[in-house]
Amino acid sequence: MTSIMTTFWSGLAVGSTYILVALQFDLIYTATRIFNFGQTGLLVISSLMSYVLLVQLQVSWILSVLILTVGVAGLSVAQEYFTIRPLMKHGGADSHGWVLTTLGVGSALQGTALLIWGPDPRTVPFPGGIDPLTILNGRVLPVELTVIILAIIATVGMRLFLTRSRMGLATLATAADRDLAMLRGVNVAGVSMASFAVSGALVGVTTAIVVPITFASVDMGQQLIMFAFSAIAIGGFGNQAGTLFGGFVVGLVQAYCSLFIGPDAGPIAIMIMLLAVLLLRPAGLFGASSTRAI
Amino acid sequence: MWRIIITAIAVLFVAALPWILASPHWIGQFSEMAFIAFLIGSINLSRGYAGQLSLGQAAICAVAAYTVAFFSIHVSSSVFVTMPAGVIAALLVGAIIGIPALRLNSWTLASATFFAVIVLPNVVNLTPAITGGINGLSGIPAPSLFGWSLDQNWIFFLTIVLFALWTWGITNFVHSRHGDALKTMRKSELLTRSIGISNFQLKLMVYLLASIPIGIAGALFIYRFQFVSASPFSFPLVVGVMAGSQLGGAMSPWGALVGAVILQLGPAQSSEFRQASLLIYGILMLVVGLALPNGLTGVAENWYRKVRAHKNVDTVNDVPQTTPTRIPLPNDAAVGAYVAELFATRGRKGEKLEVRGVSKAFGGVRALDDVSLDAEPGRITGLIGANGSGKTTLLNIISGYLIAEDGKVSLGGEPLKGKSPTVLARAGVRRTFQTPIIPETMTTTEAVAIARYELEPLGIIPAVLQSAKFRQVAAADREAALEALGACDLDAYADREASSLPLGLRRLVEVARVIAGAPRIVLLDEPAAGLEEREIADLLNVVRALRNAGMTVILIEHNFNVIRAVADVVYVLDRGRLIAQGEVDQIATDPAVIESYFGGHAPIATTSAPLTGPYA
Repeated sequence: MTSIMTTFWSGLAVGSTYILVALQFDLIYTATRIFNFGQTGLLVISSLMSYVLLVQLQVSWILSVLILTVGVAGLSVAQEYFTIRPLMKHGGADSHGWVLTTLGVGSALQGTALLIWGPDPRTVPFPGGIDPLTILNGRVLPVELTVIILAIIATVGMRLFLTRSRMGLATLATAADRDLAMLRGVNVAGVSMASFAVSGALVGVTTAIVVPITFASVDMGQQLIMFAFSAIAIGGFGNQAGTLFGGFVVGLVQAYCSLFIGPDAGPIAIMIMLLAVLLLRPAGLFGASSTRAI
Repeated sequence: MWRIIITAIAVLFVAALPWILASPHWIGQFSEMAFIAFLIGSINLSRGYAGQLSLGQAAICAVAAYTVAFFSIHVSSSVFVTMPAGVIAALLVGAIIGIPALRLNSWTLASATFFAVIVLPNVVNLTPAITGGINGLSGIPAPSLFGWSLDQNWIFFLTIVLFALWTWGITNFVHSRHGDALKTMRKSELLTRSIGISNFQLKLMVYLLASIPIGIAGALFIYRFQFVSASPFSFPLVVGVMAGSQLGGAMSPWGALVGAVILQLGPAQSSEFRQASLLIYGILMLVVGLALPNGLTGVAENWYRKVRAHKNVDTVNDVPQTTPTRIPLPNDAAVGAYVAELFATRGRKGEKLEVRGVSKAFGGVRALDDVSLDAEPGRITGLIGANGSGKTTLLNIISGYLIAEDGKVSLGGEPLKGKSPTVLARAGVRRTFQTPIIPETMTTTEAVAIARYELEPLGIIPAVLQSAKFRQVAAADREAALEALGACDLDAYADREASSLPLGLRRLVEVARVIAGAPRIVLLDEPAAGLEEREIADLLNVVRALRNAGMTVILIEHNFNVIRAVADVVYVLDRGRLIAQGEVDQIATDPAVIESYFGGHAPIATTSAPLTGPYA
């Protein structure tokens, strides 16, 4: 029973890291209809930089988070400006041009990280210590509890940002009907850049806390993106509550598969789950199917 | 004939290089190129031609390689056993990932296939008995052919011959009507459905076809190394293949070869490459993606076209390119007889359409409220109404793009409601669009012939092999398209690029496409919008000919003069409700219609005026 509950908490914590990545990913998709594979690179660079700042340079936590937030948001905006915007002018979101550039950005950033830091994973210490707490018969590390709370806060925050702020409403209007939003005076290009900025900032804010769970390595980005994508697909695109649920499900499935079968079973189970959802409920468990006309 | 002989000699020369060159280093290099070229060929087919981005080539290739290894060890080392096993494994894995993902958008396919690459090492680690786990699988016997064990030279020979065959087959495929169907789908998935093509089936067909070279590549990998592990099939291979695809250009059969050669001779030569491969590929993709959207073969083709256009500049100037003048129709009766014969020989005729009590709401807005309508064969049924009155909504319901909440729709007694546009188009419900949808880089004949894609089906294999059946269908396609063009008096434009014709002619091309599809009912969505009077008159001639041939025609129009000139029966919609129906003269004087549609004024041409208006 103890190990079952302990696994429950660690599953939720792992799922929470996917939720955080999913929120970043889904925001850009909502605003621009782009799957940003470049985010793999941003996650890798941000995580390894948190190691450099906190462990190698011994910079204080507040300053590190500040540097990462500004730095990654800047990198993300630069990606939008130099590799997405030129392609949006002709072809729009339906051309395949920016599959290449987003993959190119992801690949180039990961390649850079590989040259600088090599393939070995690293980690940063969590300031809240490593003494586990016992909740509901299961042991939970302070960092795990923090990440779970952070994921819930970020989900609620993203929902509020989208439904309450001017920028968020402009994003939703763009997502619903890009042409109509333009006609109504929404700055669609501005929405696109803002989504990259907010998404990048969210990467920077959360990395340092998440790294003790995910570890910082060149390979982490691809895995995180795929599990985050699964969380979104299960919950439904553009549905933050669905993403929260989907992320927890993915984390728990992975944790229990690891416990009962072995660490390799988790990713396979998630992929099977993803394919099943795509086949049976293409709009996700909570997504409404939409009708399209001419 | 000479081309085939010269090509065959060239292929055999390259295939015989190991004996001529006798350099294991270069043979190794060429083998790598061929391996990459097969994978790039696969991605080009699905991405370039079908618009479906798959990133899973590496994973599918690994599964094929492990399968070939398993069969070589446990069943037989014969190429005739292991190669098909590898290809079938690739098809199976491709289908398992592709079928769920292809139903959604291109991104879902990209993600699901990419996921397969991520999961591959986990699968290998979990199945050490079959895959050798993390240590890999070694001791795989060399391939054999008719009992002879093949050495590296012969494996290379096999590789080159297979690659030549694949390139030949795929070139045939993209130049067949399947290629035209793909161009049509890339232009608009609404259009493909309106001519009876299932987008999902078309995507799946191409996607599975694209799995075959991956299976071949997997087998060649085993033949060459006689060892397999998961590590060569990871992220760098995904990115490399993608970079090669973009570099070579996804829209040319030569793109795969160009991309593979440059990748292999360029970055892969440096010794630091392994470390820096991700960075180099990434930068390559960024630069090529931003600067050369169609790759190097795209640049070459553009350049070639320009050179040719420059050379032929005199002859080009002889043909008026911008505003072709239309040759007047010989006489209406001749065209009418032509269309009648066309329908008689195609064995289809107009059927009665019945719409009963159809309603449709969007959110809270009732777009259609209890609308009933009859359209008889041999009559033109006009449907008019202001913007937003529900005309197009009704047309979309009849053609299956929308589903009505209440009511019934039937054609010749067969219920239509609930069937998809694809199914309805196959049953003879054919339509045009408000803005003509004409795919680029197709001649007018091809753009019209595609309407027969589902009428006279043709499999993949006859198209790839250019069999007798393929030639027969291609000839029938062309003949039917020319007939339909003749009926619309478009003969002169048969070999012109359809999408560059002026609007009036593009509208007629859409009508010709409808005719070539052997319709049982023709739905025309504001065909006269934006046309000059002369063009409208030409168009209405064809519509009349369709009616005279016994077709059921529904004509949606804005312009009452057009309806007045051709319609036999008119229905008037106002904010989703039917407010009047009857003959033209009756409608023109109906007080409710005058109020709603003519803004309180009767139409200028009064009932007593004979029907000799501008379009008669």
